[in-house]
Amino acid sequence: MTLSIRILIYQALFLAIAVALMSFSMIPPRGLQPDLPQPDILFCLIAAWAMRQPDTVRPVMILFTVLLSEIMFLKPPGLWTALVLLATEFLRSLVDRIRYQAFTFEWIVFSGTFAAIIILYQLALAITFVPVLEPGSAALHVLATIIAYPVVVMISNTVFRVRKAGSAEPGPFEGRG
Amino acid sequence: MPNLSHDRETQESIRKPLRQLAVGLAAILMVGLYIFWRADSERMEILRAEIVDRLIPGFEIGIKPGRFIADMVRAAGELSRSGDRIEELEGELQSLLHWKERAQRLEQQNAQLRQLANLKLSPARSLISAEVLADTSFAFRHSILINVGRQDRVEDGWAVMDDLGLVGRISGVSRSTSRVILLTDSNSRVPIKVKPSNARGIATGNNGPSPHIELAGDAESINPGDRVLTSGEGGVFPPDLLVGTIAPDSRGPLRITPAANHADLEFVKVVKGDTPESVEPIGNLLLPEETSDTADGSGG
Repeated sequence: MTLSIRILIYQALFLAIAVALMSFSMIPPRGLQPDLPQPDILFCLIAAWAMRQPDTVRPVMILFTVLLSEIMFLKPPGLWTALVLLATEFLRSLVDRIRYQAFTFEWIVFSGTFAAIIILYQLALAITFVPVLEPGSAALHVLATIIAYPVVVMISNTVFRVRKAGSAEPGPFEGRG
Repeated sequence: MPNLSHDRETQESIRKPLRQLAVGLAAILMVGLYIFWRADSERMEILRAEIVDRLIPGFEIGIKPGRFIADMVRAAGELSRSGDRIEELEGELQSLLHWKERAQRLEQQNAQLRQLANLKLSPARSLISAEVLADTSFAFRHSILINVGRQDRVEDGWAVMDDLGLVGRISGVSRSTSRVILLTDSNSRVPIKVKPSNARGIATGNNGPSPHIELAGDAESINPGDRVLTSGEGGVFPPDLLVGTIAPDSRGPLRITPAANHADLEFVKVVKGDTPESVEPIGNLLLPEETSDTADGSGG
């Protein structure tokens, strides 16, 4: 298999996982779990893949999946999509720096980025008079997402074999560079 | 080899600014979409409802197996507790039989008294049963999708109940699905009254499990466990639907424990509301009498 076909397969895989994540979080008798803040798994997935194999998460795919989630979950459409697009572009630019760093560095970068776009999101909602999340639950949402990130990275690494370019272990993208 | 990597680099140096430009434009477009939604929310929400209506069959592919697994896990849990549960239920059954007799007696008595008082009841409200297709709740909004829509003559604003109590209100109807904003959503406002004190107020959702109550009067006569019903004020909800009970811990603002089982919604009932009546010309109102007159005339 050539590299470009492999990338195509991974792009399809990304879209499938994203849609599956959305449907699983819509299973009806799940109930409202008010005490458990829900992490933003979709953003974890986008960030993890964009920082490992940027070609597998094209901006147009991010646009499609995040906008779809906004439409399905009754969120104000567009705003979160715009922020995730910009955040991913920032993370993507760090791919070469992250390659030779420990995971802790990547985790800190991820956490800072997610916290920043949540704050921007809340601010943008507030100045357009759309109800925002209470600061406490927003903080818990950020915390839950930060905790979820290593798990998403681990599953991406082991199950889907999306690894850092140039990592010691063999991955499906070894044709690179 | 060095040549190749050089080519790659130059390619990258052309591609990168182009991509960043495209991403920037896409982000601006998305912000534009948001501003458009903010300016004309109503039209955008109608559009959204139509899109969701088209897409939900696709998501069903993921939801159905997930639901099946969730049900299995739940069933397994229930099975392991079934021994204790059966004993518990038998005890409950005994006390319910006792209550049944009492209820029948009271019903008879009630009917007799009603006849004595010559009381007319408002006609029973008709219900539309619906299945919950998807739980689209997340931190900001609590809502569900149900499988009835315009083709079942569902209309915006109608109340939705489960077997026990009020679930929420229809907000967004498309061809075959409707969106229900739950009682617990922070945008939900329900005019209520508390029995037996008859205090009136508004139940306000807070995205948590138990909505707040703001009372019009003082809260002194209200005790934990009092029943909370819709008051029917404002005409949004029909009166006397059970909302829940006053939550036991009443430090701070008063809260409701909803009667509806929000954690386990599978089937719900849509309560047909009063469609806003347009003022009809007087001639129309007189018409039935005239026709009965002519019928009499032709008969005689």
